[in-house]
Amino acid sequence: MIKFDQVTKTYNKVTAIKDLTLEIHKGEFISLVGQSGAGKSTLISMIIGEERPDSGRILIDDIDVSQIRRTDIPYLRRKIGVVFQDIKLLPRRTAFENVAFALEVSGESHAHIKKEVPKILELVGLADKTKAFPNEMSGGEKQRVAIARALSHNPVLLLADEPTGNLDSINGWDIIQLLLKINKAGTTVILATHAKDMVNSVKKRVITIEKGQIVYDQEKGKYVL
Amino acid sequence: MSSTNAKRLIGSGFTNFFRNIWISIAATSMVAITLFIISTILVFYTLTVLAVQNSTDKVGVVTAYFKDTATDKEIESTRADILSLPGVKSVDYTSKAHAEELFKQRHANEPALLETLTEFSATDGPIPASVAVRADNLSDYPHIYSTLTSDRYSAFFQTVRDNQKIIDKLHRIIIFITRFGLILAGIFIIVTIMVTFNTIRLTIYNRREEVEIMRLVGATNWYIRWPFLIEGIMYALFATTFVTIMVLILLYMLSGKIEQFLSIAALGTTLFQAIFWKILAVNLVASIVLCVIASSIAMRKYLRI
Repeated sequence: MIKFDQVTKTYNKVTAIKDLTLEIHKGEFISLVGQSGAGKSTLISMIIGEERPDSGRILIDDIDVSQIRRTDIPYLRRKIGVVFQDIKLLPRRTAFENVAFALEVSGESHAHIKKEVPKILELVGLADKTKAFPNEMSGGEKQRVAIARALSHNPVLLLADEPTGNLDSINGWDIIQLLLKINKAGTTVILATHAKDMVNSVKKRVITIEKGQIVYDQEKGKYVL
Repeated sequence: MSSTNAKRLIGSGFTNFFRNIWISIAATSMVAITLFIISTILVFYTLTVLAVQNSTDKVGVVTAYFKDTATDKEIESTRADILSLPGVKSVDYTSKAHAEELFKQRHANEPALLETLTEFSATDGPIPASVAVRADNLSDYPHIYSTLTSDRYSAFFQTVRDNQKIIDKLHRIIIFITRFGLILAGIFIIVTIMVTFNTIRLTIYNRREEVEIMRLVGATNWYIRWPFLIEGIMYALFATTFVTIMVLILLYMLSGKIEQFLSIAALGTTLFQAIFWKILAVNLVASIVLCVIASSIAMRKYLRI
């Protein structure tokens, strides 16, 4: 599903990703681990077309993201959901409106939005919070709204970049459980994280990156750094 | 673009406009000031042209006096010939007898002067027959004058007189108003673009989180850009509406007096007819073009998509 083929990326002569080759299959749950600056976020940025590699190819379902036209990037992003550590919700919009926003920008009809958003919010356990504004929700609930927004396009791939970074362990664990549930429903999930205990508990494939290169790639692996 | 998207984008443009209402009012005011200056220049320009046209119809003619030897046939063919010259609007013939009549009317209170006329025979009056030539444009007069004084007509005319000095002066007034107006408008256009640019830049800054999220969830570049363009167009539309109403009121209050003062009605036109729709069209086009340019520059520079 996703294939990195000898990908290299440098920023001002600092190598972020070096000659990286990696294959991720449909329906997998990947924990991407490594120290800060190891290259995890660069990898995620390249998958969503935010950054382009200096060399090598990145294929997502046969689409070469490294060569993709700028005008096609929005359509690529509708296939990929992204969740960040800083959540990025619109503070003046309710949970419903934040999720609806993602559907509005891709031109979905009002009727479709009205029908789909409650379903998605229910999936992430926020059926009773549709009218709540971000400042009325806990950190965990806000992250659930962000996940709901990422799921709104029914993506084939969900990227979570440190989604539990700002949460306490209970809320963090809830988010991991939610990601596992989403993965179980068929969506490929890539989780970039520092949360050692969570990675170890998940018992899924773990890819460890160091200085832009893969140092471990283990099925049912552990956080080894 | 679907109607759903169009509604959302226009709504988003309105939200941009009203969310920072004071900044929007400042930008709209700046556009309105520029439009008002452009309108004022247009009014002055049109008034000057109308006044010049009016004066020209009175004084701006080339008058050619026939030699006494010119026959009726020659006079008739010369008239037709002059009328076919490029730039000639009309050729009015005044016969010897009519010229004498006009002289008598003009100097009715000067019996000594009229006395001198009686010393000439009926067919040998002192005032020659003439043609008064009017041109389409002021700039055509020098060419008409030089043609009438050339060898082509020297056999028929004894004297050719023009009002070149007056015409030159009027011409210079028009050129001055046009240049001064263009410079003033140019300065305000630049200032307006800068103010609008800055306002859109602030909006982009205020909405940076929203723009970032839009990008991440797959909004197309134009979907992100449109609200900022619409915001710019709203400055233009509000400013045009405001200035048009102002001009409408001013024209309503002043046009009668101006028309009377400049005798414009004598030209078969009214100030309102001559100016209002022109002002509305120029303001609308100018403001939209200005605001779209300013928004586009701001987006190109600050909108990261």
